[in-house]
Amino acid sequence: MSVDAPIREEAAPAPPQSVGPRTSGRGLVSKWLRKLPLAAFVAVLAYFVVWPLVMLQQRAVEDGGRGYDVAFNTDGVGQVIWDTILLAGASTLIATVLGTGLAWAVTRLPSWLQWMRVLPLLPIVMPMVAVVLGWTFLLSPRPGFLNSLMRKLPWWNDLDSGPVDVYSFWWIVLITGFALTAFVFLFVSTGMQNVSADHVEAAHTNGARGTRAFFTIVFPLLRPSLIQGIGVSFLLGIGQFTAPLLLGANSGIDVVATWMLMFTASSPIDYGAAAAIGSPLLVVGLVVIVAQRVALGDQGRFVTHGGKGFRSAGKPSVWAVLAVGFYFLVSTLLPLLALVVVALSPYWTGTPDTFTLDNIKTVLTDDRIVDAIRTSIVASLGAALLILPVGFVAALVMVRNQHNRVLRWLLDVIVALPLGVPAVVFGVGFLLAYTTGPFILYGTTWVMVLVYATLMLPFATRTLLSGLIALGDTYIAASRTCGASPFQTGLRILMPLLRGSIAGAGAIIFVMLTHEFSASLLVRAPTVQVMGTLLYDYWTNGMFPVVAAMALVMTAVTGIGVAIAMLIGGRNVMQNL
Amino acid sequence: MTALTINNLTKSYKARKRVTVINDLDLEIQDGELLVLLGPSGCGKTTTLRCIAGLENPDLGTIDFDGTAVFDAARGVNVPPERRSIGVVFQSYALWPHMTVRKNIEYPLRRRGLKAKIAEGWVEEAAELVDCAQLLDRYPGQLSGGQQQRVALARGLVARPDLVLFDEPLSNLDTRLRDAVRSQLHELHRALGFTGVFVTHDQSEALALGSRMAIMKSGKIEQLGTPQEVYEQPRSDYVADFIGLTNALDVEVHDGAEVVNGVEVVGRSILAGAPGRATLRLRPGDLSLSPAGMGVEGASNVPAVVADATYGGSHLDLMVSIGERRIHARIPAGAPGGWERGLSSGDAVNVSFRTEDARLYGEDGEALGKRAKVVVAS
Repeated sequence: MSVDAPIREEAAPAPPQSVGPRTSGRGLVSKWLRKLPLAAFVAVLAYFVVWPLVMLQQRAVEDGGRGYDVAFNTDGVGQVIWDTILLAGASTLIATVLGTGLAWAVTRLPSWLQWMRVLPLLPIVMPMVAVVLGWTFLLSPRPGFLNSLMRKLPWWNDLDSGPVDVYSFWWIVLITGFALTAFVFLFVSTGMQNVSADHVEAAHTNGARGTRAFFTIVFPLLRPSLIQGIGVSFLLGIGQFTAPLLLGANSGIDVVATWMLMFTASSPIDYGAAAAIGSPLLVVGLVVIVAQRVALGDQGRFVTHGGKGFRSAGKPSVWAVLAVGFYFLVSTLLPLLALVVVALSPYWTGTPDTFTLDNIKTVLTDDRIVDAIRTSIVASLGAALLILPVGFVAALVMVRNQHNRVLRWLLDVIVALPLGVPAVVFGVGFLLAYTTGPFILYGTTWVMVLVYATLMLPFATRTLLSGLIALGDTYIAASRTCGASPFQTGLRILMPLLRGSIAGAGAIIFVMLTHEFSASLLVRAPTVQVMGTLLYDYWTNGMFPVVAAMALVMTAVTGIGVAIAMLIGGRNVMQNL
Repeated sequence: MTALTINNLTKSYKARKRVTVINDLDLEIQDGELLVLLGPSGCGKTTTLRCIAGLENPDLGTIDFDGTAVFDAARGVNVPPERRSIGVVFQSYALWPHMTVRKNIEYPLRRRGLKAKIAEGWVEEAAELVDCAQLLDRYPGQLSGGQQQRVALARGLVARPDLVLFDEPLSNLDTRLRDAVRSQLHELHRALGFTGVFVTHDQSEALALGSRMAIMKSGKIEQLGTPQEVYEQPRSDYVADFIGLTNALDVEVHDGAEVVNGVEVVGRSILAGAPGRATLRLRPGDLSLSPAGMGVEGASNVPAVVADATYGGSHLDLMVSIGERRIHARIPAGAPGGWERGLSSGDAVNVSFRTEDARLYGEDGEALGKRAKVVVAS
């Protein structure tokens, strides 16, 4: 065999021709014309995503930064900021530990309990308001069901309230942490699918024991998913609204998000101050998004091969079953049961013999409530229908367009923004953007549709993007070379092939929007209420059984949505989040 | 039917630094011929095919179909793939899984405004050609690899495009199936007479299918000719290596004696008047072995040492060392108990070959002398 075949030297110098694309004047014009539709698309998206944030800052800095002056000179601002940071940090810590542990636990479920894998994901689609309400019914100091039970224990039977106060700061942290656990779990367990069993077995055959293999091989490979999970969890934590609002009000605990509502909803109304106090959240959101990109660095390093998927080396463990079961109990089942009991009772504390369906009847007949349910469904459906095609085009541009780097980068940033900026901040931004020109939409359902669509832009784009990437390039090339235009290719090849992911994404978007709370509370008008906002009003009026019944209805809508999503998107639709 | 002309085609990608994949390529494909682009991975053959199809955007150059430009960088012309009259058969088949075989084959007719031809039975005809008529109502997922490949072929041919492009269509098939589809493809081309470009890295495929073949190296065409021309007269050392002359030896004149890798040649002169230094190229099957010291008359003989011997059924593969260089000889296995069977590592042998079978290349890699042509003539 030849070993060192001589390399032929270049005989002649390269032809005297300029290297690199050369374009004549006519080509240049047509090149710009071709960029025009894409530029218009990016501009429209920028209008919806960036404009509200611009309005926000403008309002905060006008009159020589009066908004900042007011916001940061209000009594207790230091405490509020500190509480916000502490809440976000501590709940993320809880979520990280529990989420990673659960992701490990589901790999050790026995084969007949594999369906339990989906349980830790339920809090993502559960209405947060319903969960928080459920916990107040369970652990409110005096009438809370669990508190009453615990007071029957011999060492607590002298108490007439407590022992747990759900309205205290650390219980807010804990409940938030439970909710965020689901998000960390989602990322880490998806990441585990990429750690092939071969990698772990290779570690074992090279002499590593169980824990050593986990910390030297599995954990480093999980780093990107963990970073993403922690990032998302921290962002949700710092913009956390529901738990502090519903639980903190009683004991005067506030975070930045609740202050934003305070400045916009209770007199003296001061949009400038609301915008100003939201600025730190905006900055943190941007920093986290950038930090994530930097920390992830070269993603290619983490691409692993071998399709076997992760398989734990250990045997099925009863502890794994207990851990997953316990998480399901505290994150979903217990709050839901409490809601059911209260919804069926004439007062907060009912017993089975006084159970009645009156509250449910009230919910289903009260005009305001029925209106709110209808608005919720219409706005969520409208937003889903609006954002799916937009997300499809955005995803297509990201995969297929290799030429317009600037536009593509812009699009990437715009699409990521709603992920980093908390929903409350967007809510105030939209309130400002649509109470003034050119489109005065405040007081219409349209503003809900637009807020919802904007909030779901990253989700829709990313889901369809991963669908497109998985599909690859060849089906498209085959269609083009068979004579189909890009549009026909999209219609006849891409849409049918991605039908599953599109429908699945649509259903999940719908579900998450039907219980949107934070942004809705800011852009609602007296005539435009959604389920969550009306529920909040009834809650502040103390109509607990009706509130519980409403929360149950919200949960039911959610359940139906998830069922539809699973029906069309397959059982893995939750994993595709 | 169409002729294809490519001029000065250049395509580069910007990764960490700019990588030129196609480098100032000129190529002419004649009406009705099947031109094979052959080369190792990364030589730019698939990119060339994709440029012809309109799936890539070259930096420079022109591509003409029958004298009409479909791509011209200077004039800003780039006809999109759907408006070029082509059919493409992909390596991964790329049959759309949500459509039946019939729908897959109909697709080019519908998209090209040839719906009337569906009623005329073009779909069935195309399926018949590739023996897939009985599969029309199945989905691609229900077909075997070979069946999918044949359906892909039917889809590429059904609209009777001016040009059919094949992107390594046989490389996903197992060996036996590959041979079957290959001969079917050859028959189809003979019967239909379409103009085609076929990309492959398999030299036997290229030899069997090509009307002409082009060997590519670093984005350029190294040699273009009929399979016989390329196989028998490789123009350069690179082509020779790729087309099966895998043994390379350094031959030079030293103190009046001919020497390969430091070992003196006995018998017929190899260089025979060519310049004093060259690379000698030989196919493994053109080498003969005999016991040490027993040179073959009328041939060139070089003493060597066996490094390893493996049994291959009808033949034996021997790695032998000549000086520091190791070469591969494939010899008939002979009868059980024969001399060849006893060879093992460390045995001294005599390697001989006919000078007509040898090819010589200068230090620039170009073929030397007229020896090759003399051989063809004789």
